[in-house]
Amino acid sequence: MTASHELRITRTASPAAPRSIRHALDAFLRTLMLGDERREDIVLAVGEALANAAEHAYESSAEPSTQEVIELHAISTPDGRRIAVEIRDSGRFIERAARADRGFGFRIMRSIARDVAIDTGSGTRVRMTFEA
Amino acid sequence: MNETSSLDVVHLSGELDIERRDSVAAALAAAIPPRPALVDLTDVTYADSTIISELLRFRARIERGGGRIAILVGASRVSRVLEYAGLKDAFAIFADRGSALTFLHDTTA
Repeated sequence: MTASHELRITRTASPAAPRSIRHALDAFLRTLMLGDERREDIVLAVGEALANAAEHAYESSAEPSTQEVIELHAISTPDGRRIAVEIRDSGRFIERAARADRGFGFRIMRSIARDVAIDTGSGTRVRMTFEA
Repeated sequence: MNETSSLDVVHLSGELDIERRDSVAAALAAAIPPRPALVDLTDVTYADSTIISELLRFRARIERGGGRIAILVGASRVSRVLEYAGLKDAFAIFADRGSALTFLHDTTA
């Protein structure tokens, strides 16, 4: 696997960060042999994880801190048939019982990704794999 | 009576995500039931669950007030997002404006 099939981005957690990271991911996916619909679906699934990460940053401090970041790491086989994406945030994990509608985001991620794994500790890490 | 005289139309466009949540909520707040509401999403290029949640809250508020809502999606991907979220049947979704208006006017007749 070569560096050209890998993408790493780090952004300060802010409401604008998900859009910025989505655009970079979209540009990365355009270099792979994916159909438009598949590319847009992957951006959507990852976008849901990014929205979660941005919310964590909000909820874990009174004011969004410039110390908090959102990181994305995507790696693909050269033909784009298998893509793994990891999204990490440094925000403290918040019990989400009060946010029932967040469940829609996870449902969207699971509808599109082959696997979804969520780890929470000092931050939250979501890993998804996509197959053509 | 012209086509928009008896309903509220909320037109949203671009990328609807967490950054736009407050502006979307403000736009939706302009619709007052029991007038029916048409939410025009034909120019939406991205929408995620953040906005789905706003639409669900909006629908609940309008219906509590005795109104009905129609979602106009055109060729946008919004209906696909709703399907992935398991909410395909939660809204009255239309690809063309004429059908959406017919639906809204029928329910208020």
